[in-house]
Amino acid sequence: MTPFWPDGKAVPVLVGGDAPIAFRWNRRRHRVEHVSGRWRIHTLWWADEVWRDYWEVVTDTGLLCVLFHDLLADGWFLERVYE
Amino acid sequence: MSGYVELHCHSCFSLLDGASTPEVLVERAAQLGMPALALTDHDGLYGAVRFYVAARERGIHPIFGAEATLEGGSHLLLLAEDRAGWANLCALLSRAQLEGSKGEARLRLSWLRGRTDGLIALTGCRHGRVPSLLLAGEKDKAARALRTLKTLFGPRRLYVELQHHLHRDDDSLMADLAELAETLRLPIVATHNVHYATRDGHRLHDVLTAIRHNVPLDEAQPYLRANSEYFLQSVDEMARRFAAYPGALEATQEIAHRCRVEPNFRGDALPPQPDRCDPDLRLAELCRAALPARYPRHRDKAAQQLEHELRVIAQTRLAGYFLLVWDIVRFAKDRGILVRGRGSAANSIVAYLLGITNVDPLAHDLLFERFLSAEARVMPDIDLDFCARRREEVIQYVYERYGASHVGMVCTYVTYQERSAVRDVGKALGLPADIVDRLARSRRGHWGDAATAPPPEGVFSGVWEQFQALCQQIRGLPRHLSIHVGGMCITAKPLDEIVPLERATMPGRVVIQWDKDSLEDAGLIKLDILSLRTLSAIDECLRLVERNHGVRPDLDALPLDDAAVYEALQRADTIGAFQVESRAQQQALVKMKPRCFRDLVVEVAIIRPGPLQGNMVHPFFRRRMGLEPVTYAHPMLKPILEETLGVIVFQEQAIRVAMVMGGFSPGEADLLRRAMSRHRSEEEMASFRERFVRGAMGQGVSRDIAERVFAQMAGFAAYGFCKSHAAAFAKTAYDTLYLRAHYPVEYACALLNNQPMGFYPPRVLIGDARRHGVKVLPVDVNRSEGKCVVEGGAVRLGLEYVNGMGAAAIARVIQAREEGEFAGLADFCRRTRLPRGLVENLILAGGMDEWNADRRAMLWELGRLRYREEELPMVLPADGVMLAPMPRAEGVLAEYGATGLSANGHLMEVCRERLDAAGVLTSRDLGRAREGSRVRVAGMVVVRQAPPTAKGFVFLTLEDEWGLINVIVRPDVFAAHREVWTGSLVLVVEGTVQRAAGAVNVVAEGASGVG
Repeated sequence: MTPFWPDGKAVPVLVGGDAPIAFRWNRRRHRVEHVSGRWRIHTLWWADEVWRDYWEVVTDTGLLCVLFHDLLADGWFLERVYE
Repeated sequence: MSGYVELHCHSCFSLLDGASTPEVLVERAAQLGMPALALTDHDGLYGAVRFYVAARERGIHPIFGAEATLEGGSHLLLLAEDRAGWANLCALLSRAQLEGSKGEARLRLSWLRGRTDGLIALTGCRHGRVPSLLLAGEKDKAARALRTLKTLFGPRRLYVELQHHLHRDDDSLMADLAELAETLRLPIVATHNVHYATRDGHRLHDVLTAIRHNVPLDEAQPYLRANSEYFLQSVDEMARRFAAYPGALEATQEIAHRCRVEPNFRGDALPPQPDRCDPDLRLAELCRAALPARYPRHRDKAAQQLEHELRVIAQTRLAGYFLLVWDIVRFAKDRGILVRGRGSAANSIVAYLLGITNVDPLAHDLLFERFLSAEARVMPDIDLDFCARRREEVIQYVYERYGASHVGMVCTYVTYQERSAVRDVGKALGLPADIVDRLARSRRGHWGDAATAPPPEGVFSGVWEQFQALCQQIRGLPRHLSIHVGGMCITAKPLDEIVPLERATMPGRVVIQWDKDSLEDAGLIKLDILSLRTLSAIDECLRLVERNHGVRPDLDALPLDDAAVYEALQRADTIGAFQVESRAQQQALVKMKPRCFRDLVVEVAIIRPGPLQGNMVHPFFRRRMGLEPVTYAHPMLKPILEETLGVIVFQEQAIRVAMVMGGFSPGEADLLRRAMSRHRSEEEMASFRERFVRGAMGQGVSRDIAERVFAQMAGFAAYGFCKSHAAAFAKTAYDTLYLRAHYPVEYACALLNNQPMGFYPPRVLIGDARRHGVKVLPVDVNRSEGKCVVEGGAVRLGLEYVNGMGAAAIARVIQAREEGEFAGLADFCRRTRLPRGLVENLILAGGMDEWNADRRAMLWELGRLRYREEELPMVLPADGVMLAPMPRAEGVLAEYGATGLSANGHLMEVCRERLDAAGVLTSRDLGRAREGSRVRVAGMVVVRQAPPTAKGFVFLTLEDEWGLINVIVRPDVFAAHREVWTGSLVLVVEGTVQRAAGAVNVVAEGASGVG
């Protein structure tokens, strides 16, 4: 199963600089071991603006997942977890 | 420390792609502390000169290049190192433009062979051949493509381009590119493919992209960039992104250092003299030879001025330019093509002696320094007006004389104005089409109003705010390239080594990628070869006068004190005259009451949008009429403004005010003039204002006065005439008034044959001619030619005035008539075989009255007639022909229907009896009506104007059989009866008489149409 939240699931994230260091999800703490990709999206400003920094990370708990930092709301969200 | 220079940067001259002007990009680069910046628009150097000027002002080293579109659609970035590189770049881009389809340049790699000297190539953005192959996973092909480029450019002039916009695959693409570069031993370089100066530009960039693909933003996703990173990045940010590739950053500076070419062609712009003689000597010879004839008196003064001008011309090395213009003028005169120079050139005695202009600068105190001064860095401009019908011969001559590869037409950029902005932005944002349509129609250059207007029904306030902001931002950006009406560029070197060329719509014509301003700033020669219908009319009138009276008036030798001319001017009796016939001019004439040529020059200059905006017109006329004293904002302005009663009327005065009060140097003042005449930005004007106010205060002028004077000057912004230009126009106006006064028949005939022209439609011209005792005869199939002719002291209307009568139909009538006059309707139809619709129109126009004045009966006869019609390649107007009884009144109406005018009477005669009975005044009665009295007037609507400066007021001009009636309609009155005001041919207007210094207006309160 690959949990997927198109609008993101708000999660508490510990940040260092602009990068995620660890986050809580499923009553567990996941520490970021490795960033395997990052990118930025900024579009749809004429309808429902989206401005996000995406982080694809591997955690110490063995997850590969995609987090994003919503730059408009300044909040962190989990978008997808590959299990 | 690692620095960074942006080498890949698009401005708004990447049409409908780049969202920032070159100036804004330069400004941003300066703020970021970049020592240099490149401009690399798609397939052209459109913005190069603007960029160059802006960079020079900001102390930034400009680098010039372009992103060429290759066959197959991939991109390649080319930067010019030196003159050779510039020439190669221009030649390559020209070839790509000229051999591609219009608007779709395609460069073939094979053309690069032998053409890469002085060029540095970068592998381009994601659309570059090498990166796109890597993205497709085709590493081998990518390597092969890179090797091909290396063969063309060699190892020192090819760089592998790395970009990082925070896209998902940027890291891997960068790594692949760097690896490939390493393999082929090529250097890498970092760029950022900039499309806007700051992040907030990305919205406009998205909108432009949607406009380019002609879809709303909602459907534009496939074309939009994924984020807003394509702005000019700081050195620190680039250092962060390219931390792993320090060499890529260093390379930017290295390239910047190598690229040292500027679009400055001063000095080698002029084609050499044919026989290699010294241009200064030749010019002096020609002028000195012409002096005695032009100046039988005042010869010493003229000679003195001539020697002074020759010295300045020699210093500025412009003799060749004068000779070039002289050569073209001489060609035209030899061929009998009427030509007149104008613009600041009329300030020069050299131009006068060479016959380029026909206004004596000495007699009118024209200032040569406005035209040319030793310290001015710009090319002077000379505009030549030619007889409209024969301008093409002149253009052909220029091509032949200087060679097709040295001559091109100047371009203009069609930029976003309010209306086009509303349409395109509205569509991109997905506003409902009917709302967009309504908004676009309702607006006329009122940006201020639009910015504060509430959203219309059906538009959310958030979208409305975005819409308003984007409309504001897009304003002034170029939308497409068009050809200038008459600007030609002539160069010593082949043109395509100086500036890229493009196709023009006319086969065989090429247009250069620079507009007039760019050309001027690059130090190149430009010539305005314009066509003026008035000159065609003058030319025709002179020929008619010569034929009918046996003399040809010599306009060049005409004394400027003809009483009849000034009497007509003082009565505002000017319909059909050049420049002074409009309603605004007429109302001003009544107040001005010109008594001499000098007055006429002021009159021509003052009724212009410029002086109007500076609020100078009313004070001027009040002073002229003695209603208010002549005062000066400051005593130091008196010597400058004395001749115009303390008001700034001419551009020269604005310049001298800047120098005297603001302490500007002549060079600075010239910059101000150019900023004013080029519609420059408010920020730029603000900086001039600051400088002016500071300078004035330094001389003890109060801030308040200094600001007021500057505001008056800025009122000129775009439209002020220079005095010499006004004088040249005034001379043409004088000539038309002279011919009109002394040869009214010939002049009327010539006017009618050169339509459309001027302010009034032909029916008004005919009415006016008739009021001046000119007999106008109707069309007659046995007498009329194609054009109007003078027949026994009267004007005979030409067949072309009958609806549907084109060249082919006219030729058939004339040819058939060669065998003898037509005997009747049946004979006419049989011999001409014109289609029935045309014959009907000829009957209705009165063209067959000779056979039977009852036109209805003629139509009946035509209906029963059988003959072989032959179709003609032409389109008949759709409106049918009415079959009604034809007493005189209806006959007049039918003539209007068939010809748009009537030779037999005035439309108002038809209803005059009824109008008299109802107490409606004629234009003659109105002249005697008291101020403030309530009246009713009626007339045909001949002109309807709603000038943007008039805040919603509409001005109507009605005509009856006696003359014109001016009506002013307030916005609320107009709105209340919009259909009546706009839909009726004949109006009855009720209102109050307003008299001001001889001008009579009716301020409308209501109106009804006459059916």
